[in-house]
Amino acid sequence: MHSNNHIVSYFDGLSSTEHLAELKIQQGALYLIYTDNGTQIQKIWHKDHILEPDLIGGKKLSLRYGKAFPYQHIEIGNKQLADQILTKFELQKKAKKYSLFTDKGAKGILLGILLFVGVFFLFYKVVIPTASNLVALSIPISAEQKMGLAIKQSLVSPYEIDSVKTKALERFYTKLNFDTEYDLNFVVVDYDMQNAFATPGGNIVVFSGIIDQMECPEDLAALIGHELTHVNERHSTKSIIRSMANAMILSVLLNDVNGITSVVVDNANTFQQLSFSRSLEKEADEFALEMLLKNNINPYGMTNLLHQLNTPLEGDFEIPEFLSSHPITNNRIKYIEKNIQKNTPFTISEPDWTEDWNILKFKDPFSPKEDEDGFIFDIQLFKGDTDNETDTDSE
Amino acid sequence: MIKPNDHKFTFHGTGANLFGIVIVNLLLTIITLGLYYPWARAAVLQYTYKETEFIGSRFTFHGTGKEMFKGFIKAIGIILAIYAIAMALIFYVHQIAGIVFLYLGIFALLPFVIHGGLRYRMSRTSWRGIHFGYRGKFNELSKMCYKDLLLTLLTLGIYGAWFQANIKKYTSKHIRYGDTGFSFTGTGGQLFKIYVVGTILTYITLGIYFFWYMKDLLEYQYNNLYIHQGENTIPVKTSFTGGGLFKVLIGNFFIVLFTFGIGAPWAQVRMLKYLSQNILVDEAFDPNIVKQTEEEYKDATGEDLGDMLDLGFII
Repeated sequence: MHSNNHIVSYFDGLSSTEHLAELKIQQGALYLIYTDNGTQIQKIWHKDHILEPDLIGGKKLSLRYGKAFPYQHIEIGNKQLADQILTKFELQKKAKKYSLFTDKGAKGILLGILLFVGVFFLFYKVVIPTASNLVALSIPISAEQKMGLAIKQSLVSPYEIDSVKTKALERFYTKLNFDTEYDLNFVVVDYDMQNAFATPGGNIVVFSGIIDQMECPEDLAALIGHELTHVNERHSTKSIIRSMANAMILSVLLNDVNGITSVVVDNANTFQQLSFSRSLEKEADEFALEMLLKNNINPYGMTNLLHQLNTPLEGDFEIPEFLSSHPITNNRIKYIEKNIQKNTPFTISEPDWTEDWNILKFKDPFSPKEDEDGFIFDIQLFKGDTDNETDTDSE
Repeated sequence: MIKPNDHKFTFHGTGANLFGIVIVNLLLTIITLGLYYPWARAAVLQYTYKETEFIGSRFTFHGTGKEMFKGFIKAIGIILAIYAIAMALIFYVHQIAGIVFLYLGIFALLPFVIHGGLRYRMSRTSWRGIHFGYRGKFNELSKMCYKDLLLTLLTLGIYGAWFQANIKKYTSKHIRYGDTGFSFTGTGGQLFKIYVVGTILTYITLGIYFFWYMKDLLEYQYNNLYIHQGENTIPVKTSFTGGGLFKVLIGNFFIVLFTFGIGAPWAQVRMLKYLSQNILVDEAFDPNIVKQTEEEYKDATGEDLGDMLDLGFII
């Protein structure tokens, strides 16, 4: 029958010689007949050993045959014959299709893009955050402590530790009676910078500069509450894991895309990280307030503290919120005040913390650092620097 | 000189088809949190190989997602182990010790990436049913790599050009297509000159020379390549022009920019078409006399490591 006889390119797997072979389909097998050096050769391909069917460009069918390497190989340029073979030998499923999207033309491409954007946002906004929080929570406290201690040591090493004030802060904290399953480790650093931070596992570092700025012990209680929340809620660990997960998925996605897109995506990712960091800061503020209220400490310590942070320094400027790791201080004060009003009236019955407070507020008149010129500039510089730290949670 | 009967390459792929593959890859990679990646890579390689035609026959990449997944898991394990040790050193010993270890670890992987990567990629590539192969010796290659890396460090990077030329020479010498061999005659001096002239002129011309710099690099890579078939030495030739590269690369830049990256597959196809059109093999090459000689090799760890560490360019 004419429709059953076709010429195809045959390669025997032993050499690259192209043989033009006559192909016949008979009783569940392919018959290939060609002439080599005047001798007629017939090859029979049984259904079971036909391998790697591939419809190249939707037109050209390539097939391999054999039980072991090296394999025989044919290329069939006739689309009708190709389809006939695929049907006859039930190879349609195995034949590699391009994609369900491109088969449908422009509509398919659009559908593909929409589906991708949808799935991407679902993962980026919901699945990865949830999964990385779960991972963060499953990390044992002991591992967090080891990591946190190393981070703390490397951050504190350039400064001098005030051991008297550190002891006083420890006593001050004990009197607060805040809830935590962490064994906290406090350090007061003798440096005139308005900052404090917590590292994973319960290390809280407070700069003497921020204590000097405070007006009453409630402010310090609020600060401790804020930092303790970073520790309790594992904010650093969550941030680290979230940023690792995001970086990983983005690097996989961007592998084939060119430089320009990756710059755009990288920046978008940074904004997303900053927004996550702001949400954690807000959580720390809110939980700190709860701690104050629960322990009958005046909650206005919280707003007081923020007002003091907000005192403008000469030549200071405010970074726009979307570029900052913390919410704008005025916004923080607003949402805290709202929260306090919700909880009014509240009772105040504060511990006897005066002695420790006085030690913490004591200023060494011989400290050389305070009168240095250009000092204010230093503070601003550090403020900006520490805002970008990802492994610590400041203020 | 290019002769009318020299053998040409043609890339038949289309942006739409590649897009179809890439979009499915992206979707599945996200949904599987990255585990689909090896299958995605295999799909793109299979597509680009089979759409490349030489003397009427297509190339085939036989590597599968499954093989590459095994390599992928091993590669992740190796990289994680290096990072874990580096982190431990940073936290418990000294920061510098950790960073030095990290760099040494990645450098130490280089010969493995080249050797393993080439063995896999070559073994899984065929044309007319005949497989490519890589017969380099790991010991020889790693000795050369470590010596040259050290010299590159000591000369503040200058020796890098010779390092690249040496690797290219060694690997080309050991690549086989059946009983057909290859050789590379480019020298470190030539490459260094291209780097120096290219960099200086690109600055002087405010970037315009960049496309001619690319052309010089491509010519260095292909015009120094020879195919050995029996007693015959057959040159590989190119017909790249700075203007041609300018058109393709600038066009691609705007395609990617204005489509926010969605047009990347179309850009990639334009580049592949341009590259394949302009690489030729001298008419002396006989496509019908190559004998199958190479064995199968299915371990993709080197290939995957190279991809993860972005070292693919070396091959």
